[in-house]
Amino acid sequence: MTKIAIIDLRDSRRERLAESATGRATVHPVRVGSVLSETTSRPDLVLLHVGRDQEAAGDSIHRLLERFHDSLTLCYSGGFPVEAATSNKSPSVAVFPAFVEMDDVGVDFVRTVNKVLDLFPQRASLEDGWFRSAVKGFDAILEAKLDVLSSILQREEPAASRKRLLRKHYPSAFGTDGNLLVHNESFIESVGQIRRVLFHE
Amino acid sequence: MHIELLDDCAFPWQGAAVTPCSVSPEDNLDRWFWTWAREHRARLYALTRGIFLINANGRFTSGAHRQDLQGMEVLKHIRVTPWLGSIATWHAIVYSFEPLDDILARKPGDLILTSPGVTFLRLPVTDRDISARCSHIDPPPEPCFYGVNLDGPPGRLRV
Repeated sequence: MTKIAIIDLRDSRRERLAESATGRATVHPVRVGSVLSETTSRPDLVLLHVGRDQEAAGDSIHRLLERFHDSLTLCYSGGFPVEAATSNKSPSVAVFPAFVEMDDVGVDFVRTVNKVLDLFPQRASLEDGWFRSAVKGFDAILEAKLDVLSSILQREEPAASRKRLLRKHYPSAFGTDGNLLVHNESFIESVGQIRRVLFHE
Repeated sequence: MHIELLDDCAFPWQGAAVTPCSVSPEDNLDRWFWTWAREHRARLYALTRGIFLINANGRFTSGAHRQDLQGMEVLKHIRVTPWLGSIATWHAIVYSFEPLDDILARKPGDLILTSPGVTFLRLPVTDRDISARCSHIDPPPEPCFYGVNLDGPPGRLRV
């Protein structure tokens, strides 16, 4: 079974990630990397929180990336990742291109971890950059656009996290009340108008 | 004309009688397609003609993102599955919120979208838009690319 180490000082996020991987992998969740014992020091995949507060808690991201150079390291943060992670060019290190919030891991990050776990057994037959393209190929804004438009066309409430992301980038698609500009009397036209805003048409 | 929906969403224009496809908990689209095709083959064989309605951004496995364009992979599977018989040649209406150019720029391998036998529609659409498209297609059916000619050069498609 694939072995995963999760290094994250935030308890709720670490526990949620551990839960989502349980059953598919052997999981070792820890608050800081230094407490990982030598027996678990060679995981197949490391989920590494690379926010500044992880370093403030005692971890050196640079040293952890060096220590786990034989493993795949999927870096993430709820804010801006530290430079040691973003500047790392190794094909076995990839930074997830969207925020992973501490109280809501989000379905996209979990799906990306699952995608890596699915591909992991076939890694010998995959091209060198498979890990980075599986992680960095994800476009959080495009996914939010597609998911929000699908939800409103089904007359369902879009996920709050998706709406938040789009509101930041496309404020003109939203009213002053924070809701998308959908009008029941001209429903299809208003969905079309939102689509035009989101896809810059 | 029978309309076969391949979508995980229930959009209002699809009609109340149309049921979205189930989403596989397993993250394996090949297996999803194989299961779908086996389940529905007998029913679809009994029909003389039909049209596929496919959401390009459909999510057929739980681990997929909408941007993965699984609907396009399903269409390719349909076209190259010989045991589907004439079902593999049905016209496909593929729809998406994304512009066609964006899809092709992101995934050039989805050029099948511009092939004969495929109509691309930009969402949102109304049920009248779909009816108009379907009535235009029936008759006559357009030829479409389907099947892999194993006797010819590798990977060559036959019309």
